[in-house]
Amino acid sequence: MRWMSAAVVLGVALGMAGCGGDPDAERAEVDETEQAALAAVDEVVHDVADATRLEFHSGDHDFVICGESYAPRGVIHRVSLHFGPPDTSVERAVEQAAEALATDGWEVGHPGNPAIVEGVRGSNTLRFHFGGAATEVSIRSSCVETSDDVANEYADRANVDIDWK
Amino acid sequence: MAVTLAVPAGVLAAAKAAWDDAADGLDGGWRRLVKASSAGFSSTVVAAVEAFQTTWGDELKRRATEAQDNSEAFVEVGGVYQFTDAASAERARALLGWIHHDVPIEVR
Amino acid sequence: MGAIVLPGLVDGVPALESSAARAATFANNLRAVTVQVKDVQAWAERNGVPDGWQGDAREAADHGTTRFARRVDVSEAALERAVVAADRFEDRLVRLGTRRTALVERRSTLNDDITTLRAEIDGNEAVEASVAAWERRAAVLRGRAADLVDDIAAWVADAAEADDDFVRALRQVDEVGEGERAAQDPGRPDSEGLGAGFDRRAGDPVALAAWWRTLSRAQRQALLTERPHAVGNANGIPVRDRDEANRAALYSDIDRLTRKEADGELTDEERSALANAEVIRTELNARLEQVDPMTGEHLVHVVVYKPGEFGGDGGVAISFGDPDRAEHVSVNVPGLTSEVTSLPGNLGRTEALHDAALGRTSDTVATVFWLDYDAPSGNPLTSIEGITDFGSVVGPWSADAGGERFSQFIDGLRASDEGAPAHLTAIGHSYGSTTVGHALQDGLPVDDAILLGSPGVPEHTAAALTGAEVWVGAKDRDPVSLIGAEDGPGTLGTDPAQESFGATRFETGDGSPRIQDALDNHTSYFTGTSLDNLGAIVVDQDDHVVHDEGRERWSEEGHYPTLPEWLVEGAVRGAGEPIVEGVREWGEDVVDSLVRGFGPGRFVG
Repeated sequence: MRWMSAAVVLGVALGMAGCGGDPDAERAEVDETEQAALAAVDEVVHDVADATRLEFHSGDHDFVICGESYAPRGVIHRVSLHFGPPDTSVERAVEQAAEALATDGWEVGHPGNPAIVEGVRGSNTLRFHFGGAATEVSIRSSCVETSDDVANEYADRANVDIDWK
Repeated sequence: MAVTLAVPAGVLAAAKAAWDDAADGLDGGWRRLVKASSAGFSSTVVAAVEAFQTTWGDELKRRATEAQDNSEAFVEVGGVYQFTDAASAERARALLGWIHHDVPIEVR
Repeated sequence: MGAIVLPGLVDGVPALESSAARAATFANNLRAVTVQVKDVQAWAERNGVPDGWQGDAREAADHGTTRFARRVDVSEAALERAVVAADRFEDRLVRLGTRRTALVERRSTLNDDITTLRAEIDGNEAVEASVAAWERRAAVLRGRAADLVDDIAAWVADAAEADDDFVRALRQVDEVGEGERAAQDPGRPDSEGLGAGFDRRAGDPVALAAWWRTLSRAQRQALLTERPHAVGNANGIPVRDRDEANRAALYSDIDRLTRKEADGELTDEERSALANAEVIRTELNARLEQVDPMTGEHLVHVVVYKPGEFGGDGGVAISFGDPDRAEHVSVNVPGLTSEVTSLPGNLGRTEALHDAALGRTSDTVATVFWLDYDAPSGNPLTSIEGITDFGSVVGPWSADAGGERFSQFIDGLRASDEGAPAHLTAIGHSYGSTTVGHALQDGLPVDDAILLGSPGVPEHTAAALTGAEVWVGAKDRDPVSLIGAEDGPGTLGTDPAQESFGATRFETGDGSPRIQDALDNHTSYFTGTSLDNLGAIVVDQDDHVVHDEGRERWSEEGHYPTLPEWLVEGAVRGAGEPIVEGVREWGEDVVDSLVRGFGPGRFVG
C-alpha cells in the first residue's frame, strides 16, 4: 500500500536523525555561544542603556531547540531584556545604539523598521527595539547544531534571570 | 441510637465531596489573590491593591473554612453516615441540595 | 533690532509610574480568582432555594447551602468590580503609553529645532532680513513649546487620574459591607442572560463579534469570568478578550488540578490537561515581561486554550502581537507530532518569524501559532501506539477535519478584526501545509498562503486551490516535500513545489545531502534565507522575496531527485558517517521495498 510506504519513508528519516557528534565538543560550542551573549549584555547593552538612559526592568536567558521535537537539530540561545523607554526620541536612540554596536565591533544592520537596530557578531544577533512605552532587547544565536540528546539537555534547562549590574 | 438522613448514602457522600471541593476552590482563590503582585504600580495604587487583597483574601479564607466545616459535618463510619443527634442531622440536611430539604431524619 | 527669544529646551516626559503589563498581570490573577469563586458560588446557588420559591421563608433562610451561596456571592461581586477596574486601568495605561510615545517624539523634534536655530543664530551675522526670519521661526518654536508643555502637563494629569480612578474603584469595595452592597446592585451584569446571548451566537463569528461590541466592559468581564473556556475559544470574540478569558481558565485550571493532584484524585485525562496547562504557563511566564514598546502592553496573547482536547494532546493558539489591530497577520499551522508539549520549539519558531516580519516594517504585525486540530503525533519508532497514530499522517483525514477548524479560526480573526482588513497569511508546515491546503480548498479568506515542506495539497494547481497568492518553500532534500511529487507516494495530494502547480517557490536552500540529516532539512524552514523570505511575504513585501525555480522533473534546470532517488543517494552519502548499522541496513531495506513498490517505471530493479 502506498500510504504504508510513505509512513516507512518518514520513519526511516526519523530513525536516522540526530545521530553522531562529540557531546563534549558540542556542549563547548553551545557554552561559548551563551558566554558571548552574556558578555554582550555586560558590555554593549550596558553602553546603550547608559547612553539612552534606559531603566532595567528584568531579563532572562534560555535555550530552545532549533527544529521539531522529533528532530531537535541543535539549540538556539536567547537572551531577553526588558527596559523602560529611552530618554530621547526613538530615532535618536536607534542612532546611539547603532553607534555603540559599531564601536564594540558588531556588524550593524537596519532591517527596515525605524524603531529597530540590529548587530551581528559571530553567531549572535543583538536587537534593540525602542518605543515610547518600553524598550525590548534580545540576543538570539543562530542554531548551534548538536546531537538530539545535547539539544534536549539544554532546552530542558529552566530560564535563568539576568544579573544586571 | 443512630441518627441519619433518609437518603441514599451516595447523596451524603457526594455532598461531603462537593463541600470539600468548594473549600479547595476558595482556598486556591484566596491564596492566588493574596499572592498577586502589586509590583509595577505607583505607591498610591499599591496601597489600595493591598487593602483589597487583605479584605477579600481574609473573607475567602473564612468561606473556605466554612465550606471545609460543612464537609466535615458529614461523618462516615464503616460506610454509614451517622450524626450525633437530631440537631447535627438537621444541620447536615441544610447542607444538602434544596431538593433534599425535607428528607426525614431517622433515629434507629 | 529686538532680541530673538528662543524657547528653552523642553524637559523630558516622565515615565509612567504604573505599568500596563503589570496591570494586565494583576487583572489576570483577579480573573482567575473570580473564576474559582464563581464556580463555587454557582454550585451552591444551583443547590440552594430556587428563585420564586413560595414556601416557608424561615426554612429557606435556614438552608445552609443557600446561605453559603449568598455569602460567597459577596466576594464574587467585589471581585467583579475589581476586575472591571483593573481592566479599565490597563487600557488607560496602554493609551497613556501610546500618547507618551508621541510626546517624546514631539519633544525630541522640537528640541532639535530649537538647538538648530540657536546654532544658526550664534554662527551667523545678524542682518535685518535674517533676524526677521529667525524671529518668525522662534515665534513658531515658542508656540510649539507652549503647546507641548501643555500637552505634557495634560498627560501627567491624565496619568495621575488613571491611578486615582483605579484606587477609587478598589476602595469602593475594600470592605465586606461594600461587597454586600455590590452584590445587591441592580446594575450588576446578568451573567445568565449574557450566557444565553452568547450561546445563541456561538458558531457565528460575525454575529458574535457584533453582539460583543454592544456589551459594556462590565458585561464582557462578567461573561468571560463566568464562562472562561467558552469565551476564550469562541471565534469572533476579540483576541484581547480571548486572551483574558483563556488566562483566567489556565490559571484557575492549574490551581484546581494541582489540588486534585495533591489529593491523589487526578484522572488520566486531567493529568494530561494539567501537564499541557503547565507547559503553556511556562511559555507565558517566560514572556511575561515582553511588551510592545510602542504601547507597553503584553506582546503575547492566548487565543485558544484547550488543554484536554484531542485525546490529551491538547489544543492551543498563541499570538505575538494583537491580530485584531495588526496590519499584517500570519497564522502558522504545524504538522507532524505537534501537540501542546511541543509548544516551546514551535513558539520559538513563531517568535523568530515575528521578529523577522516586524524587523522589516513600521507597520503593526501579529504572528500566531495555531494548533487546534488533531495533528498526527507520536514518534512511530518508539512504540506500537506511536506507529498506530503515525499511520494517520499519510491520510488526509486529519488535514480535512483540521482544515475546517482552521477556516473557522480564520473566520473568527476576520470577524474581530478592527479597522481596515489585515493582510492575512496562512502558513502550513509539513502536514500542516496539507491542513492549510484543505482550508484553502474550502475558501479560506486569506491574502497569501505559504506551504512549507509540504507532503501534498488536495488540488493539482494553485489556481484550483485558492484565489490567494500561494508561496512554496521546499528543500529538494526534504523527503517529506517529495512525497507529493511525481514518483512519490502521493497520498496527501500534489507537491506544490512542482512547476506545473503554478505557485511561487521561494529560496530555502536545498538542505544537506546526507540521509541522517533528512529531518533536519524538513525542520529548518524558519531560519536563514527561508526565514527572511517568510518575513517578507508576511508583511507583503513581495519584491523582497528571493525566488527559486519550480520543480520540473524532466528538464535539466529544474531537475530534482524523486523520493526513491533521494533516499538511495542520501544513504550512500551518509554511509561514511557513524550511522547505527542496524538503522542503516533497515533504511536500505526500506528503500529497496519502496523502489520495488513504485514499479513499473525507471526505478524497477
